[in-house]
Formats: sequence, C-alpha cells, structure tokens
Amino acid sequence: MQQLNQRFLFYYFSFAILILSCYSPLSLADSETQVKAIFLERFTRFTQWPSDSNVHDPDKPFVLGVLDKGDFVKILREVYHQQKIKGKPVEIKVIHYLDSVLSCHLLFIGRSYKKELSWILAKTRNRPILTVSDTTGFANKGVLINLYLVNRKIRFEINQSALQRSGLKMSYNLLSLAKIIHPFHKP
Amino acid sequence: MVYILSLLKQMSVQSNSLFMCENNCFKLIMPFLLWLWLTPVAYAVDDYFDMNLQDLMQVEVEITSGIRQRLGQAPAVATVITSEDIRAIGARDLNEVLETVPGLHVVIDHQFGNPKYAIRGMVSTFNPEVLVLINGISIKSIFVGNRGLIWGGMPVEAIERIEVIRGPGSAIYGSDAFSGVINIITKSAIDINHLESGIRYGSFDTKEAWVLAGDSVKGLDMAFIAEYRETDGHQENIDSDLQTLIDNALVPLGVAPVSLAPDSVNLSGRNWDFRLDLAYQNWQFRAGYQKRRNIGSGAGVAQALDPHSRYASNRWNYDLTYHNPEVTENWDILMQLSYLSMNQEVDKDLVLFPPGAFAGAFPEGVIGNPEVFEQHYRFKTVGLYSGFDKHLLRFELGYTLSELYKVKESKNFFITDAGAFVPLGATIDFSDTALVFLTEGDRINRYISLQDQWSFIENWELTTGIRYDNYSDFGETINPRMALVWNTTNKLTTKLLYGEAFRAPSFNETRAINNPVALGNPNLDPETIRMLELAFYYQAQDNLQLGFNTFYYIWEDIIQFVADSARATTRTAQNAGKQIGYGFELEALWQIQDNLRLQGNYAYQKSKDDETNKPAGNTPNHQIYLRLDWKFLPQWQLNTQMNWVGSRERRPSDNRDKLDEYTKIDITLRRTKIAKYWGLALAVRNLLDEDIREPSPVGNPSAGIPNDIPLAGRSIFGELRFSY
Repeated sequence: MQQLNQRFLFYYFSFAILILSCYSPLSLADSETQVKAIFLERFTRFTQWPSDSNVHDPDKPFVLGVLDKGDFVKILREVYHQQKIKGKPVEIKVIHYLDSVLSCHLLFIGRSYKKELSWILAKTRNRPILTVSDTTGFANKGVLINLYLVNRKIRFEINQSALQRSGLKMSYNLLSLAKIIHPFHKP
Repeated sequence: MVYILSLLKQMSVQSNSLFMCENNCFKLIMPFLLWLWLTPVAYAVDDYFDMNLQDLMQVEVEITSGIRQRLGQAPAVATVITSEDIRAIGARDLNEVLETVPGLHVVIDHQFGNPKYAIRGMVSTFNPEVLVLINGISIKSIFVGNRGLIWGGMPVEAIERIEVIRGPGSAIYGSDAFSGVINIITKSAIDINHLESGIRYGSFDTKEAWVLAGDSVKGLDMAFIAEYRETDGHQENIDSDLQTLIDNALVPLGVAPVSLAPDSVNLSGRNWDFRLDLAYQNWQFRAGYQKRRNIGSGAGVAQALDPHSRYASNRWNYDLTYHNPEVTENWDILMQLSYLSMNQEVDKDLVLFPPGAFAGAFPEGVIGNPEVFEQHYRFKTVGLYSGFDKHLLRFELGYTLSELYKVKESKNFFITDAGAFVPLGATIDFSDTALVFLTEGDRINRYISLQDQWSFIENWELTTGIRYDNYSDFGETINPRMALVWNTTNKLTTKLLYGEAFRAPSFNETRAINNPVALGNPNLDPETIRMLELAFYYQAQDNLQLGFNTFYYIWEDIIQFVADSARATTRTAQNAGKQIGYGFELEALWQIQDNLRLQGNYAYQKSKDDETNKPAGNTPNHQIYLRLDWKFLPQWQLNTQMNWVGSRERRPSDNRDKLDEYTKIDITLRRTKIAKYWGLALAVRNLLDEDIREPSPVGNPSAGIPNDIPLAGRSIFGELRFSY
C-alpha cells in the first residue's frame, strides 16, 4: 500500500512538471480595469432596451461608446475582441464628437470628462443609452450606473430616477445588488 | 492562560505527528512551491468571464484578486463558501463542502449513509441540532428532526453560496438553530451564464449531469436548474454486523449463522433535483422538487446488512416572496409564504434482519416498512426600520403549521414487551391501526422576534435580539442573543457573543408507539443551549487574513431514550442529558501570489457528558483542513486539499478503543476554458486510499457493527462542462 501511494504521488508530480514545462510567462495585468470591462457586459444582461431600439436588430453590432483618455479603450478592445454582448459582436466606438453618443447602446464616461459631464448627459438624458462611469459623484449627476470600490471590491450605484427617464428597464436582481440613489417614487 | 497553553502544546504534538507522516510528500512538494514563488501568472480575462455578477463583486481587484470576504463584520462567527470555492475544490455534494468549515465535521451514519453535521462536538442520533435552510427556509423534517431520512445527498451545481453560522441562533431562526445554522443560497438568473451544463463520470459507476438556464426577458428574471445523479455507491466491507453478534450467541445452541457480513455497504441512489426561480420587480417565486429513488440502506437500518431494500423520497418546495427595500424612506419589508412537503417510501422491503434470522423463524428475514408523509406551511413578515439615528431595528412575525399527515407501516413481526421478535407469518399492513409505529399529528408554531443593531459609539456596535416562540404541543420559549462588535483597529475586529437556543422535540421523540426500545413522550420539553464566544478577525496584511474564536457552551435537557423503572425492558424519551463543551477555531487565508492561495483552519473542541464526566464522544477533538489553489497557467487550476480528522473518543457507555484518526487528500485539476465554451476537470478523492471510518452506534453489551462504518477509499472522476 505504501508503495502504491508513493507511485501515485510520483505520477502526480511528474504531471505537474510536464505542465510547468509548457509554462510561458504573462504580464501582470491590471485586474481592476479588466473586471470593470466585464461588469459592462453583465449589466446589459439585466437591462432591457425599449422594443424600438436597434439593439434588437440581429444584424447590427452592439455599440459600446467610450469617452475616456486612459487605456480603458485598449482593455475593452481586448476583452470584446471575441466576447459578445447580447449575443452580438461588439463595436467599440471612441467618441470624438458628442453627437455620436446617440448611436451608442452603452456609453462609458471616464473621469477625465468630469468638466464636460453635464454636456454629455444633456445628450443622453431621456434616451435609452446605458451610461456607466467609475467616478464618485457621476451617478448623482445623472449617469445611470457608477462603479466604485469598497475594500478593493467593485460595487455599483444606480440612479433610479435617471433610469426611469431613460426608458431602459433593469431587473430586480440587478437593482437589489446595487446601491440605489435618487430612488424613483411613483407620483 | 494555562488552559490555552496546554491546548497549544497538544496542538503542536498533533501537528508534528501529522507532518512526520506526510514527510515524503512535503519533500516532493518543496521544489515546486519554490518554483511557484518565482513565477507569477496573472488572472486571465477569461477567468472573469466565467464569473457571474455576484462573484465579480467578490473579486478583490489589484494584486490580491480572488480573496473572499470570509472573516467579516457580521455579529456572529460565520463562514461563507461561494460557488467558485465549491468548483475549485471539486466538491460534488454538500457534505464535501461543509467538511471545509472550521469546527464542523460531517459524521456519516450507518443508516442510508446519511450525513450528520457535528458542529463544535455536538451530534446526536439523527442530528436535529443543526438548522439547514435553503434560501432562508427550513428543510427540517418533523419526523426525526433531520433533513429527511431518505436524504440521498445534495448536489452542488445549483448552489450559489453557503453561509454557515456556528453557535446558537434561535433569537432569529427559532427552533434547531442550536449548534449552528447552514443557509444554502441557490442560483437565480443573475448567477447563471445563459446556459451552463455538464456531465461527470467517476468511480462506483457514478453518473451525473446538470443543466442551468438563466435569462431576463422584459424584466422577468428566470432561472431553471436540473441535476441528476446515479451511483452504485462505494463497496467497502462491513466485516461483522449485529446479525453476526446474534449468530455468535446462537451457534453454540446449534443454530446456523445467517449474517450477510462480511459484505459491502449498500449506498446506491438515483437522484433528480429541479429548481425554478422567477423574479419580477419586488416579487420572487421559487419552486423545487427533489426526487430520490433506489436509495440503499447503508450498513442496514438495524445494523444488519441489507442489500435488498430500496427507499424512495419526494420533496417539494414552493415559496413566494415580496421584498420592498424602500416601502418608505425608513422601511424595508419582506413577506414570504412557503410550503415544503417530504416523505419516505419503501420501494423494496426493508429487511431489518436477514433471511433465516432468529433460528429460522423468519425465512424471508425480519421485514418492517415504515413510511412517513409530512408537510409544512409557513408565513413570515420581516421589517427593517432605519428611522432612528444609529439604530437598525428588525422585526419578524411568523406562523408555521407542520403536519405529519400520513404514517404507514407493514411488517412481518411484532415485538413483545420483553423485546422478543415474534413472527406473524406474512407481511401485514398496519397503517391506520393502533399498532402502527408512530401517530399522525400536527404542530403550530407562532413567533415574534425583535432585534436592534446599535452603533452606540464610533467603532462599537451592539446587537441585541430576542424571540418568543409559542408551540401548540409543548408551550412557550424565549431566546435572547447579544453581540458586541468592536473595530479595535483598522485591521482588527473583536466580537463578544452570547446566545441561547432551543431544539423542539421531533415527533419520533413525542409520538413513537409500539416500539419498546424507543417510546415517545408527549411531555418532553425542548433541549436548550447557552453559548459564549469571543472572536477576533485580523487583516494582518493585504494578502493575509486570520481569524480566531473560542467558545464555551452548556447543552441541557438533552432528549435521550431512558430505561423505564416500572417496566425494565422499555425505554422512553426523557429530557435527561447534559453536555458541556469548550474549544477554539483558528483560520487563515493567505494569497501567496496572484496565482497561488493557501487557506486552512484548525479546530479544537472538548465536550463532556455531565453525568458521567466522560468525553461526549464520536466527534474529533482536533481537526485540520488545508487547501492550496494554484492557477499555474491561464485557465488551469490545481486544487489540493487535506483534511486531517483526529482520533475520536467513544460515547460514555461505549467501551471500544478510540476511533482512529485519518488524513484525506483530494486533488482537482481543472481547465476552465477549452475552445471558448468547454471546461474539463479530473479529480482524485482520498488519494492515499486511507481507511476512513465513522463511528457506528454504541450497543449493549457490544456495538452492533464493532469495526465502525467504512467510507470510500481512493476514487476518481472526470467532468466536462459547457457554458454558453
């Protein structure tokens, strides 16, 4: 029995060596932006666009707009190179002209656009565009979902009144995981 | 202090001997550990893509990815195990998951191989002293107080997370939240990646398959889960059973032996588990069906091997929940209506003693087929009020109706008051007669509970709670709890906890009739427990968490079947026992590298029977669990876990030698993503093929199964997953 056990261990560790020999080093990625990039897709699963939105058109890609001066665009391109959103390929659209936000299904607004935020939100307000940010105070100003960190874990807040005006609908499950700000009360 | 020092001394002796026996493997492992140290591998994006939203919310970003919030601020000593943990360790059943919890050991019973969750040294015949909830709703059987005798295991693919609270919790949860509460949260739409499925095949001809589907359509979240398992069960031998003992007594009189031992235990089973979860706005509806068929008797219901019998069970549950977190600015209201039904049915005759038993008086064996049907209706409403500064108030009001609405029994024997088995010549149905083994009946429980969470000074929080329960059969009980949580420093949290709990008698204890070995007693009081705990959680480094807690408890009015003074041969349930215990649990989680994590715990407990002053027995005094997770390549995971269970004292009236210690090592190798949609895993359980045994019941004059109940030797399985 003792011999058998040793043989087992031998095979087990030989196998480990075999795997290690195939090992190739990878760069240490910034996990925060990666995880944030994936959160965007998760939000879309539990968000419903109005029936007349072209998000339902199977021939059109999902348009993910980005207003950010950092490297988030690069990460998004890596992540959504193959991954789909709502079962459709993803078009990452870097926004240069404000009017082009109107063709986005989801718009990420980086902290570098803090000054221009009110202009951007004036464009998206009352439209079915899922705005997402990761800057304190943005949701208060009208961004639908804002990501923030608590003990190095990602949390999100949802501006429910702005959500109500946008025509988008979010499921109860998503709302229950979020911190709700500006809760919507039926008149 | 002297006490703690002596404990530490004992601990070091134990761990030395442990490491000595594992010396060879550590020599082998060392070079690889060094190698790992030098080769960090980042989490790949694909790893995150496999996670659902709730899992993603648990990921710690930056360098310490993946650390779980295990040691928290909650006013209790609690452990949370997520679906990701479950997958990493390659667990296939709830038992394997719970074994990783500090201070919890899963004792396997001789009947049907049923699990008994022994927390902090507390375990009894049917294990009613632990409350198991699914989505916050009790799955307790009123018959013997466990999760149903035909449990058949619980598969884990539907489980999103498991919260285990050690210590009494009757102030919130009511009856049976005694040694601990195990709350199993199942997956809803948000936890499922559209479509997930898998198949698994392993030793003992075990076949498993599952499908999970989740989606959100027009604001309606839908989840459907189906799981299937079929197994022959392991085939470890029982070398001598109760019939062997009877044979030994009768052989000198010229009676031929009839015991089937030595032969294997019978742990076959065929399970289906279905779960449906619908959520729309503030409403949630859940339904579940657990179907159990072809369930073998384990080592025999009467401790005599019985390869013939097969049991079945059906469990149905429904619940409708309305939850509005913002009814008004300060009120959060939840209302829930739930239903649970469960039964045990006999598919093939239960043979208590084998054919030819009692000098040929029973040519077909002693046959007894007890069947039980029960249902539970529950309503509760919970309010959270945050209108007072620094206070969070919780109110709960509830009503439960439990009905044991049908009892059936057929048997070919009859037991005299002197305990002799008299043959009836044929199997006769005694259902609806006065000779059935249990009377039908119901129980109503009404309760109200109040709790205040008060942040009275910065960094200090006091939680006080009290619950009043009224039972239609045994009356009233009031159970308080108190928790003082102090954020001592940024990194250290200190908790002082006190709680009381009760355990309502099961119907087997109050209503059993026509069974001279175990007669019910309608005048029983509930069992009670008081426990004091002191706990520390320490975030030593960004990547190192430590937890330590120590506890002391007094468990009183323990229900035992005591010999009657009037008629020397019968035994009746009485509030007769008392057990006192203390101990500590130490846990640690160390994210060594981005791709390498080590975690584990050490638990010590010493419990004694107050009357005899002897060890309470059957549970380990020492237990060590270690788990190493290594993501050695992107999309590859290797998990190794070791569970050392120290030797076990016997029950006070059991004069057998201690039950041997054992070390169980499991390995799971997983490739999380192949060709985008697929995943693969290979696993070995009990790698060292250790002889693992769980205690058989004490007997008079000697144990029916003297050499205890064997568990599976080395086994393997392979798994293929598909996720779209």
